[in-house]
Amino acid sequence: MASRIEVVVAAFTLFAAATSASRARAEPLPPVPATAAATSPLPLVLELHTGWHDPLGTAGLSLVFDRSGRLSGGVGLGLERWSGASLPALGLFGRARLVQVGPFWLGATATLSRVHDEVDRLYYRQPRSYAGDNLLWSWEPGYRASAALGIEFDEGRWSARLEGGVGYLLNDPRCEYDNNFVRTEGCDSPDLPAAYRFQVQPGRVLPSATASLGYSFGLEAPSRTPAGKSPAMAFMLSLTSTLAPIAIGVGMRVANKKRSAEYDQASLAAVGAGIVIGPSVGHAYTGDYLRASGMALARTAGLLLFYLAIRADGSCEESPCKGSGPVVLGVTSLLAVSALVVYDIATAPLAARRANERNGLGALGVVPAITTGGPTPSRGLALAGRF
Amino acid sequence: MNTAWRRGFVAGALMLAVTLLGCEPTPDYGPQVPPYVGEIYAENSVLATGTAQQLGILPTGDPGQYAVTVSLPAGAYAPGIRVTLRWVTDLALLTDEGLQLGALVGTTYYSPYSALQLLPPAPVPTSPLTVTLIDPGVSTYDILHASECDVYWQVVGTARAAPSTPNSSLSFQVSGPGLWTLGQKPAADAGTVGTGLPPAPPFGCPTNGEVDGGQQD
Repeated sequence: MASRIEVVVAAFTLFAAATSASRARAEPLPPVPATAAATSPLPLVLELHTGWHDPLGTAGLSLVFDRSGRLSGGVGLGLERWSGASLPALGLFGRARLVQVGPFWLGATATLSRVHDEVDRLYYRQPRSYAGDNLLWSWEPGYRASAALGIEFDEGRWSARLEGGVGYLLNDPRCEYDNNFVRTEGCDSPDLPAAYRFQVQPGRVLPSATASLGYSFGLEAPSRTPAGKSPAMAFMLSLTSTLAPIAIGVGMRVANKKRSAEYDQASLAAVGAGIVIGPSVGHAYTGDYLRASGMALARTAGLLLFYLAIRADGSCEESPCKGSGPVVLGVTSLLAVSALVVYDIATAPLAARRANERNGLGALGVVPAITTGGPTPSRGLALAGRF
Repeated sequence: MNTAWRRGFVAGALMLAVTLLGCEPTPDYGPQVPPYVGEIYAENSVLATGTAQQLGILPTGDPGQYAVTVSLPAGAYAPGIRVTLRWVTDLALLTDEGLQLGALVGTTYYSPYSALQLLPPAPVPTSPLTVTLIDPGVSTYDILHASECDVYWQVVGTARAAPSTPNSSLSFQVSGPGLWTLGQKPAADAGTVGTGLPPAPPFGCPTNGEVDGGQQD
């Protein structure tokens, strides 16, 4: 609704500028409705977030005080507990919107949180004559400072954020060492091999990635998206949102020389997010939320089938199985997912054009116009479209 | 203004990337001390100062107490030489049928084929070092010595545990570098014990008369 009013206002202004004779008699501009958030008595946003090394754990809820200005802030609560006796993660954060790029805001977030964390490593000293050394560092609790850069997209009451950053645990951990013969506790223990007395222990600096979905409880926030949806923008959004996570995931896999299972899982998650969510981003931009989520679900189902096919094929290595069902299923599901990815990216520009037509912006044009409201007709130009 | 923010954002992203690249520390194990035999479960070293020193491995759980302690008498090594003590197990190359090795400390827990390795291979200490064991597995032992670079154990003496409260202990003297352990010699054997295995030199053993020198720190 707001975008239509803006188009009407723009057309009226253009017309008035071209017709000086009629300017004095023109009706005053209709007042632009004040943005809802500016008058909202309760500019609160509830966010559900999940991520890898998120400042509040694997999943959490946040309540954000956000008046849609440059700055916002809030409190967060983790949804999982370290143990039955421990508190869930708690945090305070502040955000700044720095740069607007198209419908997106790029911004920064600073968080202070109280968490529980532990990191284990298995080291094999070279040459391999040495037994493996198991090290465990735990923060129970840990006080963590985090900084992140993110991208935000909001449309009406809904908002989505993707953040990547780094956290640092401010307090010292508890150390445990075990190589099956020697077992010791305490980071200052003389029995802890000197090689493992790190100034900054593994896991104390934590790369993090967070995805969050927010819903505004206040009145509807002002739309940051332009009235018209750009087909090129829709295409680029789908393409980059697909390729960037895949590239990050592949990069993590290649860089993971120690074959850490944790990094392998994170790289798989990044590739999966690129395949499942990426192609839908352009469609979400055009407002086709149902289609965007439906196609994402279809790709999720395809990946699940592919995973099941791999598992079934793997079990065939142990005991011969009859038929080539798993192979056929695997190849078919992989082809289907690939086709859905390509189709969604390719049709994102069409979705933008459809959205513009839906919103009456599909047939916009500048047309000559004559007004007869005064003593003499005035000639000018008008921006016209179907509404 | 917008450009400045944009530059700031890019600079922040680069700083984050650099931080993430350097966030995983790598252990620094210090200088390598060959030769390597068996599997090493514990190692400790001390820089000789010319005075009497002690070197312990395998902590018992009580503060400052170790299952194996080596005492270096004053002047045994020239100052600056790093003396290393290792607990080595799975000495498959150095075992022999009938020879029960490794009744060194708590055999019910530790590997049966275990020994102490004293490094560096050279120089030889000017006076014998004393090894003290806490809670050895059995009461009467042959003291066995081998060089890492051949595969024969030499019986160099006998040791007997001294019961004490709360743990029994045992001390014996070692006169040089190499592998040291306690065992029970088969009744028919005497003196040198052969393994019957091909004498493949372990990693780091000198060849063609080459001798490793002591590491000067």
